[in-house]
Amino acid sequence: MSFDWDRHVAVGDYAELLGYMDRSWAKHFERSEFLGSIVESSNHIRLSDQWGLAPVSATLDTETDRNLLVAHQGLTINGWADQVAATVFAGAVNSYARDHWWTVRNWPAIVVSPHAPVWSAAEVRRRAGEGGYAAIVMSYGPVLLGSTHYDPLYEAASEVGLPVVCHFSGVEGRYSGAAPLSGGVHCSAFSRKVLVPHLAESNIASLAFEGAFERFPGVRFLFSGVGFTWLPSLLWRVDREWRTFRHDVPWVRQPPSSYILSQVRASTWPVREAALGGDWERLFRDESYRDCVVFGSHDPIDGDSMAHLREQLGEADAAMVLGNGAELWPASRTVHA
Amino acid sequence: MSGHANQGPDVGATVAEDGFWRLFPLAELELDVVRKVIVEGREMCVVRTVAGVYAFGATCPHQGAPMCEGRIRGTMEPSRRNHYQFGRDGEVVVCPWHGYEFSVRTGESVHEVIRGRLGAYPVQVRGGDVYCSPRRLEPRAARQR
Repeated sequence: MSFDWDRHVAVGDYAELLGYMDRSWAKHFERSEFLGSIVESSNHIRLSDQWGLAPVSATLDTETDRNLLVAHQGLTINGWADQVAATVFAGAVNSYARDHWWTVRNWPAIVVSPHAPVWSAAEVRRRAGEGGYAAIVMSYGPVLLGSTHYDPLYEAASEVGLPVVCHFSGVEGRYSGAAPLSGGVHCSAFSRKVLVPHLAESNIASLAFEGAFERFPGVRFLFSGVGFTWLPSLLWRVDREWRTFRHDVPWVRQPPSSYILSQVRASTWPVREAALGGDWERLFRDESYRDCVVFGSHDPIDGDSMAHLREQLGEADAAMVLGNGAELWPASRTVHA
Repeated sequence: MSGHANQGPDVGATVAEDGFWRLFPLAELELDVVRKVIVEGREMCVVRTVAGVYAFGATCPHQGAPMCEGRIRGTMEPSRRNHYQFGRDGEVVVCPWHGYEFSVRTGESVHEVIRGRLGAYPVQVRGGDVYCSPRRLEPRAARQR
């Protein structure tokens, strides 16, 4: 089977979410100044010309056999000032996803908040009980992922057996509630987009050195939309520092690369970076490295097709990468009726 | 010269019948100050620590750093996050170049952070003098000493 772990879907009109909220919260949200600001912020955070005012969704009729649907509007809560309202909004997005997007091939991810790990854990357990969700998705907050701040969420993820997909929302480095980017505040969306791979490297190092992998050996993390050719050098660097400074992090009992190879995956988008200087052949000779890469089209936002994947990795490796996502997909789950 | 041990030009050595070489009086061995000796052409480091007297190989297996310039200390044992457990005080030598830790008792990499190991050599204190053999200990024997 083939898997696309990064297809984006959007609610056409935010007012459609109101019916999935408690009536009082719906009254709070339905004010034009609120809905208007949400629409406006979606415009501000656009990462490309294709992410404009009109919400866009990937087609659900795909070549791939199974697809993870990421409701990218829900990811933007990492930059919201009102984090209580943000959880209500995310909950409504999750309900909407269940009712509108789920098909046998297309399973949504449970949107959770990096600011509210206890709420997120409860939401994960609730949605997993409903069935039909293939993953948990979270954008980046200002607290690095290895912190015990997230332990309630990881406990829930471990309990329900769903991977945690880390995907930027586009407000990172821009809104104060979201994760900052390296060096400072960049002026443009495209310069921020260039730097989002740093978020993955930084958070993977945090997961390793703060002992999160050791505390939650059953939790898998998929870093999505940030490329993957940085992975081999990161693996080398974390092991090198661990060898010298193991005594500073004695809770990291194995070489960090061994945790990462076991518990971290990266999606392919943008797959064209793999061809730079023959990076795929040069850097991913090791089978364990290739196993870490799963296909993520990022459709419909500058998305990669399966043809792009084959063109960049070759027929055989493209097939392998398309199949790699199987290990993350829930083995069996109550199917939402 | 062959069959001669030294840590400097003013120290001679004699060999005992069991192949151990007398190096110097124990009283001359300052705590945690590693001294380099050459016994039968083999360079090794000798040190007295709070844990005992040890002799180990003079070259780091990683990139050949001079281990006699390494610092003596303990290490942090595996633990829960932010619950440090210091142990092995005086049983660890730290590579001066990259900080890799080795057991002065066995020569092994502490917690196996690298595959290579230092040599570990038999050392004894006899009548107030330090004696050492250049015959490398097998890992199992080194762990038992």
